[in-house]
Amino acid sequence: MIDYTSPLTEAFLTKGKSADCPVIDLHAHMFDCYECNMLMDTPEKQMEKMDRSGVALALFCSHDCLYGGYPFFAADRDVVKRYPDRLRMYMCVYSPDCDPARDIAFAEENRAQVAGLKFHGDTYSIPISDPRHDAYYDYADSRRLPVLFHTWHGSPYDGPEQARQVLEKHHDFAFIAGHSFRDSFTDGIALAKEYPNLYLELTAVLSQRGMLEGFVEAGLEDRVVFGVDAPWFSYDFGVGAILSADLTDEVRRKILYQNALALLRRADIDLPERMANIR
Amino acid sequence: MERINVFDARIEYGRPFLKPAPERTLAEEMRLADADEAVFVSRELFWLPPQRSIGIVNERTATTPGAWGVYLMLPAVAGETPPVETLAEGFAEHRIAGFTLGNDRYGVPYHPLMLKDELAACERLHIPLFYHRAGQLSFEFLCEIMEKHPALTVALSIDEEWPNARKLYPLMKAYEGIHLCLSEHVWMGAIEDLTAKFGASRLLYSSSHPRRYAGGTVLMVQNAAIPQEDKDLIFRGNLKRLIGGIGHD
Repeated sequence: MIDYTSPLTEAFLTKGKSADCPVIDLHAHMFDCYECNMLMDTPEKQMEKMDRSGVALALFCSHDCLYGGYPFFAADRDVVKRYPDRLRMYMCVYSPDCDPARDIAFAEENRAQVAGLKFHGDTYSIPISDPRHDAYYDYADSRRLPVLFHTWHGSPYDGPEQARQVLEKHHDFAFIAGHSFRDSFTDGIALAKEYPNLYLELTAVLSQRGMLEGFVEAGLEDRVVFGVDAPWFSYDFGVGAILSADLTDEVRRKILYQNALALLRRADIDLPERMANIR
Repeated sequence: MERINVFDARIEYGRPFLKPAPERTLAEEMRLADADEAVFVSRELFWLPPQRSIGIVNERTATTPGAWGVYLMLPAVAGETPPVETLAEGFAEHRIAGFTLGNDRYGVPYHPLMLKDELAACERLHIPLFYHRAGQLSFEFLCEIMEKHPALTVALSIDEEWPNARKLYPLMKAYEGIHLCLSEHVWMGAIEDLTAKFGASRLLYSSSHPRRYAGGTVLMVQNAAIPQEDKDLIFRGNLKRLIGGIGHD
């Protein structure tokens, strides 16, 4: 039930946001998409929603990059250049056309904009554990970058087993399990306990009441990060779900921004100046 | 701060098929859902013979302040349930908000003809049909129902949260009686877009408790860029109007 005694609840329900609890979104996209009529289909509209819901920073990978790869990287970078205080991009690892030298050069040339990598095994029907990805993982390890994976229970491409194969070999980058292995959260919990560089991300998790409390009861409150697949889903729905989960405000803050901030700082990501003093 | 007062258009309660009885009372579940009033769908509707599930629903509304039940719609000619007109005479006394469908569980073919008399009575008496799109209770079947009963009042809930305006909007445009339960409509910007296209009067607050966190829909409505009077309609007013509009022959 909604915790009406919580100062965070009061701030979000009366103002839509909290001045001392800036939300950090680690799972966003950008632009329109053939799969649905995306209502917030421009950076400006997405920014408007970020402003309204108190989202200080979002890391995104556009649908164009996800489905088209390298030719679209520059467009994502240019959006970050337009909104350097609010956005960073995940550089998509487009598995059907891997060219680590080309792609890593792009990441290095655009360090101010590229904050991490994104993998989506299910989209390409190529396992995230495929050797063609090794050079990307080595690079991410070397910089301790956040790497967002689409993860889904039962998938032969980005299910728990493929994640385990990656995590066995790579211990330094932050493995962000997007959707937290949806439909098998026990696998997500087990993997997170075994591998300290695995983080559980909340897109599609918050639509199942009780899951969040399960992560926290498993002792993973420092390893849960916020995201909603923006602009697919509502920030307000995600934040509201967290406000009605059986958690303390201290834990809510960790989930909404502190855990994300810690992993971004660990990677020495060039953060917006106004975030420098946030604790 | 003051609690936001909501009339929830969809929570589920009761004993699922082949599962234990619920540990909490309906009143306790409503508290967890932050609902002062709620339409609850009894799970027994989908496995207990209908003449008995009606009694369970009535008993729950009698013992739970603010709870509104729904009955299962079956063809009365089969003799298992009274005609809609007869049941409707007790709606106010028993706090019944309308009907829902369970064609799959009860072997009723998915064709409007099978429920022709019942749907016609609901249309005539302005009795809401709480239609939960899942499985073969599809958008297509709802289209067929609405083509035959275009003035029917529907509270539509949908079992998917992926943005689905391509499926939903043509239906809402064609039939003004369709009202949308919001708990699964969590796409970014949906409330503003739905309000602009169809009006806030077509939207119903719902939580889908206990499957989903009620606070998600609450904050989504509360922080939507729409006027406060529209939010009030969504949180309470629209569902009160729909239930208050139920008539009698």
